[in-house]
Amino acid sequence: MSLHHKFFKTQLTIPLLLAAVALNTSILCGYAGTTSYSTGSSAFSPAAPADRVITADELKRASLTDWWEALRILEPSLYDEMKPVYGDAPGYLPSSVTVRGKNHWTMNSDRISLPLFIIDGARVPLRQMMNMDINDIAEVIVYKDPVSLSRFGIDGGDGVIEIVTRKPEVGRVKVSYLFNAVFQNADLSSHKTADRYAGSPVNTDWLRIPLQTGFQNRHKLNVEGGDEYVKYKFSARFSPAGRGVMKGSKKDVLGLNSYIEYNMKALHISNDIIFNQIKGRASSYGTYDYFRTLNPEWSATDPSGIPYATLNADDNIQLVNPVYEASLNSFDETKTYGIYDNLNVRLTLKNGFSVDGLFAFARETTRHDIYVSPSSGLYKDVEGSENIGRYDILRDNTLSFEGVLSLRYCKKFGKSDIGACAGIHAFSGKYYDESYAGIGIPTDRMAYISFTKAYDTKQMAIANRSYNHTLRALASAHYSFDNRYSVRANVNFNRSSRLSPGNRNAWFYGMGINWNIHNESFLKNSGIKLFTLNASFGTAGGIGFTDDDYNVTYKSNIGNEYVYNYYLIGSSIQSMPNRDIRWHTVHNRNLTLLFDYRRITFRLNYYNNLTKGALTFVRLPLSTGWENMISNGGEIENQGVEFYLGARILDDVKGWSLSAFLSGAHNRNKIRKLPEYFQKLYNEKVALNNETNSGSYRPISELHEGQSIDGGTAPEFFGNLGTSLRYREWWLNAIANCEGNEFGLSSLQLGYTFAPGIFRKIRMSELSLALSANNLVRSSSSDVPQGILYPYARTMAVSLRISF
Amino acid sequence: MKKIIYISLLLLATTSCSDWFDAPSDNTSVTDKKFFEDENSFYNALTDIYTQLRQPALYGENLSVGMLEFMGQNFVPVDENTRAYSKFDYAAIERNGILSAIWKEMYHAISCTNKLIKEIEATDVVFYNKGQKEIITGEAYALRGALHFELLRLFHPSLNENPNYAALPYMTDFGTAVGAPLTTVDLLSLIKSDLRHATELLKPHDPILTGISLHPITPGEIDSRLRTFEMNYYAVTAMLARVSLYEGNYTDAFQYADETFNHLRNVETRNQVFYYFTPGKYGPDFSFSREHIFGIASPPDGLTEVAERMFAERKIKTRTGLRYIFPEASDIRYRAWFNAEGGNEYVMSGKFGKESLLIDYNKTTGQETTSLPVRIPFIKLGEVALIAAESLNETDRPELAAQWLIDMETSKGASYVASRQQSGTLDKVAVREAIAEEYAREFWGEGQLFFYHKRLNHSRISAFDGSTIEMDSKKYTPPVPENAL
Repeated sequence: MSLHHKFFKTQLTIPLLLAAVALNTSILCGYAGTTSYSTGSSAFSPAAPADRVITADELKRASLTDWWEALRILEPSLYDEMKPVYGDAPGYLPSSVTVRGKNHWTMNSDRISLPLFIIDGARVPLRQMMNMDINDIAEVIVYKDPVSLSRFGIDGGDGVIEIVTRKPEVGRVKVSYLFNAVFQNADLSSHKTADRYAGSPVNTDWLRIPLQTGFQNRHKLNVEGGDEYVKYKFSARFSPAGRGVMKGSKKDVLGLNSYIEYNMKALHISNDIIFNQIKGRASSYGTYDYFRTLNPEWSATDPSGIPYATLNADDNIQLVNPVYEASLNSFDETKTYGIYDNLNVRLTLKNGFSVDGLFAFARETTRHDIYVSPSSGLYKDVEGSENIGRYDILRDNTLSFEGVLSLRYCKKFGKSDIGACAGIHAFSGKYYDESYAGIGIPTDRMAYISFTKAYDTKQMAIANRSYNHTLRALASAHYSFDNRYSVRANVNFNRSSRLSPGNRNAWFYGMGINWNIHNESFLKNSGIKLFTLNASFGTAGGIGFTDDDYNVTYKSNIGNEYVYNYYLIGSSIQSMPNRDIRWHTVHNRNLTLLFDYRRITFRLNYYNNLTKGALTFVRLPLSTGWENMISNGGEIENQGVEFYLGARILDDVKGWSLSAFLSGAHNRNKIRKLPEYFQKLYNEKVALNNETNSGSYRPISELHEGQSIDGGTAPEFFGNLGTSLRYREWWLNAIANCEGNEFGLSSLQLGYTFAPGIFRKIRMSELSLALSANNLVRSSSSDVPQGILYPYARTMAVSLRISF
Repeated sequence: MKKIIYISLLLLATTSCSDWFDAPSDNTSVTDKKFFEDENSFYNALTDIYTQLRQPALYGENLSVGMLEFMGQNFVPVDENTRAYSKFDYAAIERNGILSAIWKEMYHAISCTNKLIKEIEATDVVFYNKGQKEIITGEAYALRGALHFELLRLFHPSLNENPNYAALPYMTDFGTAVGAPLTTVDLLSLIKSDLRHATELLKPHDPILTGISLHPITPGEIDSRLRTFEMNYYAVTAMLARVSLYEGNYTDAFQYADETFNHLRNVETRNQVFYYFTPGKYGPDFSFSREHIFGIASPPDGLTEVAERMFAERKIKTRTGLRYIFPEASDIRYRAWFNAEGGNEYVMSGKFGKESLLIDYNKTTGQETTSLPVRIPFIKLGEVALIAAESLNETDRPELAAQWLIDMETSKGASYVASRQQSGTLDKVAVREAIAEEYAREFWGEGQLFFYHKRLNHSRISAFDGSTIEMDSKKYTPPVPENAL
């Protein structure tokens, strides 16, 4: 337990990285309490050999402030595709994240593809997940094992990432205060500038103009304690007015958390409530890419320092001057409120039976306001002042309920261990968003929609509501003989409102076999602590279509009335639906080797994942009246190797400890089946799309059979190398990363933990201080700038922790 | 603990209900199930089918003033595409996807019609507007039959050429299954059966039988003034006349044609929705839209725009010898439709151009009065009169036939037949000839002349430049597009 807590103290024991289990019997019965991860894993999430479990200590070695950043540094199979575009914008939310490669294409370029994010067994909205405080995390589990993924059924196809929250320690009341001061500085190393204007009279360094030193101060107060019957933890965090590296960009976070746990005989009840309020503001200077298009020979301000309303005033084409825009009242703000509750009940019955229940509730509401001042240079060509100035309101809401009930059984008979579990999982989610805009604002200061003259007639209000009602029923069983051979299997039945009524029942399965060679008699006393081979296969699924693809839908032809002036308006059928459309199935296959010998830890995974039934369009005979229909015709393969090598080189030798690790992942993505008709259709659309968005930095790739989905733009190799050094109270951590042909020093930390004896008198139990830096150095051989819309940042933080 | 169990049980109870899994999203479109819970929706779905017909791939261009008119040799080709039409070079035409577009879009409209028929016949929604359910169902059946016939007379050879030719399937379901292609004979029987069913549904309810009524229209109610914008009862009888004539059933053809004229006989003049214009009474309505029994509404950027482009911008000429086609200068068609370009050359800039408006459909909003732009004729009085005349003539009653022709030409300020009648030379052959001449005069820009030649399987027709084209079934019958079935 204590391992998870010591905030800065580096634990020199090499964490069990790629698998926390494997050797133990209770893969299913996580609560039986023999495995290291069992602290908080929910009923449905015990990790399997190929899953990666990252402990809080490891995570903090990569970053002291941002868990997602830490995970990106540590887990080579994870790829956050849009990060190079959005850089280190405060409040960045990933929109395309893959684990072990992209396993399907999207029909719609703006449809996001993300792993399933869960906290303690229950799904949470993306923003809540990303804003999780790293200090509240006990473990992050990246599910990759086919058997694990099969438990998530139709939600498991894009991978699953779970946060297991840190639970309070038993003991007297402990009050801790954490302080972080984070400084950020823009990293422009990939933005190359031409020096040909060095001699010209005006040489404006546009790339520097919108930049500032980012600064955030974060405070966290945590109170926890309890005994074997009742445990509690209350915390509040507060980070006001956090500035990003672009002027005007901000993020504020307020978070409250309350955790209470009761244990009475066989009954365990815990309840966790989290409330977050997140406010963000985009830079008043707009997006960074615009600055790269500006000519250094142009001046932003006149000699007296007053910005010009537009740039390039001599020429016919006049451009918006971001310096002038920033002086106006225009803004782009986002406010989010999220509340999340997770109630867990466990009842341990006699004869090895136990019952688990989970009930979770999540609500998130986001309001995004965009104001464009009437004085903006955008309106320089608009005649008359009627429709200038604009106020947009965009709202986004999520509401979800989740319930799990499961019965499990665990028993030992002689040399045999038997486990079985049957559970039912229900999820009900509602998602809705609305946006509308008003235009025509009299003056710059009237920055609210109430001052607008009219709704924007050219852009109608947009609203969407969608639902996700999903039921999963899971049965799994496990058998182990003499701690040497074990087999486990599960069957997962899914029924979901997101599936077509013609194919609404989805079945998934998973099976794994395990051989603990180190427990064989011939390896006894050989010094090999762990030598395990594991093979598993299983299926998971994903849904890339919407209900409009399997229902006949009508849309009103507003704007195309039949009899001109008589308001006779038709409603037309949108597409030929496919009632038999299916989810796509990912067939995961994995081999794992776990090996621990003396101070060496070695993990090796080989996987081959095949997606079947990826969405395509099938051509229809013209006599149907329709050109095509959505179908399941594609196949994609991801094949790869992952390794982890860790070594404890020195283990408390005269106060010195040293350890190091090296890990990497290589993935090869290949389209195995691509119907010709669909390929032509898709690639034509891509060409058109890339032509109309020719300024876009992420051109969509064409699809070709035998090649990778993204046309080879995603790096195939990811790797990292880390080391930890400790001398008495001092410690030093460093991690370097490699992503394709880009290298970076992703994390560097120096800390000092005061010896406990010193402050006994003032009842202080812990005091530690750390200096950390993230992404100090980035090097890239490619010419493509990184951090396009918002620059990347070098982050430096001072952290202080005091506990009483 | 008990609470948890109850909650779990509640969850289980709700999940066992299958409705829980039917949770369609709400955005800009709505599922058929939800959509057809309202009376107005059926009318909206029907309106959409009419809206589809006006796209350029169909009657907005190809099947009216575009492809078919070049094939009928009415216009002088100006470029590679139009030359391909005039030469019946279907391979070249299909290189631009024209034939497959016609095939697909016609069947698209049929597919939507089938969906509407299925929904309206199964619905238990109460229609508050009396008879509206029958009218909508009737129009849908009429459209299905009519559109299949339109495809048939384009893609099948004429009946006397080969009655057993089979290219088109008869589609009666919305879905992806395509039936086997049927022979012309089988198709005609299905077409007639749908059209007849439509007459049965429409006859008791269609306001066109009593003419325009001026009571205020509630939203969603069928407007009696707009009946000729839709497949009204008389449009169906006129279609039946067209189909009957196509199969050589002169008795039926005459009967249906004659019945169509009942509107003019039974309804008071001021309440008629279609009637013959008389010279000097058409105002700016140069296409004589009041003679359309069914015409497809078109927005200002529709047919008007196409015609402007063809005749005002590109100056596409009419075939040589327009003066010989209209020997009488008093013919209002000649006067209203064409403009001389000098050197005996003419362009048809009047008929569908931007000056041509629909009479009586003015709408005043605020201070501005707008008129409806020209619409696309689908079937009109002139054709029905010609059907009646041909049917009478072919059943050896040329005098009666001549009277139909005289009635028609009188309304155009012409007296081609009347003068011949006076000179006493009207026998069967002469009436036939008069009908042929009238086909060359009446349907400029409407695509009917080609079908006239094709129906009678004329072995030679006169080309746009005055030369003669030898015709055969290959020229008359476009090939079935790739991937049609």
